[in-house]
Amino acid sequence: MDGLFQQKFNAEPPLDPDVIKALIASESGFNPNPPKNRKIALGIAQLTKKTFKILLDPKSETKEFIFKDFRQKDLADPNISIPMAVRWLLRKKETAESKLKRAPNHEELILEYKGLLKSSTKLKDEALEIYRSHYGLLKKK
Amino acid sequence: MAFLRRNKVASFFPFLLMCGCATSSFNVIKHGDFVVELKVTPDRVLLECEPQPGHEVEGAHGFLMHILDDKKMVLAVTQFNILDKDECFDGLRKIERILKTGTNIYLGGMGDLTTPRAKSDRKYSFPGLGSFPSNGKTLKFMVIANERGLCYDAQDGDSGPCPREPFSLKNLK
Repeated sequence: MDGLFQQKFNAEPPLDPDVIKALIASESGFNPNPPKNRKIALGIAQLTKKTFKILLDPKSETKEFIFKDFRQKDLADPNISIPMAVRWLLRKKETAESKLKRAPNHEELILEYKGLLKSSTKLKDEALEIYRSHYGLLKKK
Repeated sequence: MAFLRRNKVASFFPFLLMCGCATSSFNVIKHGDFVVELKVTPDRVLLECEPQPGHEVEGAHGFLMHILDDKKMVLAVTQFNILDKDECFDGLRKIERILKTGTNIYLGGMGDLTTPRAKSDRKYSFPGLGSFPSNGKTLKFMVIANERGLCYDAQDGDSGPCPREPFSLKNLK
């Protein structure tokens, strides 16, 4: 990863690494570049194309810490897409807190990442169960 | 409104009676190390592309399968990713073809069927079989295939090797 990034973003408090692992396991099964669904999401953490643009935009909601000089195809590299996903999770922590009027727990954070926090669909319930099972498996180890 | 595509059991059932094909069944052929493999008859599978209204991605859908188990309850087998509408329905049509051309359906998923059940009030109607409640359990959809070798992978669709490890159609036989 030397040379890829020039600055470090200090998240306080830091994210539980198992949250990120469970998210990635759920989204892609650790496949760095899932071939399906590329119309909307890319890479190991299935970041949407819209999110990618936000993360590079110096005027966006993530302007205090953005990524520079990356292309969409770089999301196929986990060394790039994982830090981007973590940055996006930290932004989603803020938006979830704004919606909930309190700090979100890790499950609420993942739902917000997936755009499902305020949803009432079956997918929301099922996706939460999938994430929960992956997270639970990691915590058992 | 959610668009629930049902396996057309009304047209299948007479076919099953005439040819003496497999009666409705659900079997867990493998369960361990977070891997689950099921063998079911097509009449026990409902497919759904569920719209996700209000999602930041326009036209976002979720792909879900509802499987009637041997305890008259419904297990969810779900794709975790948010899908584009066209992608979702394209996959649904390909899986419909697997259901229509097969009598033994192989389903591979990740999860644990022994975890405690989440409470759910949802019910699902299976044509010719009746209406049954959800068992609150969910598997992450990985692969579906039939005994003829028609196969669909959650990540690769029908374009890559299918099924991929640790799933194998040998377990279907």
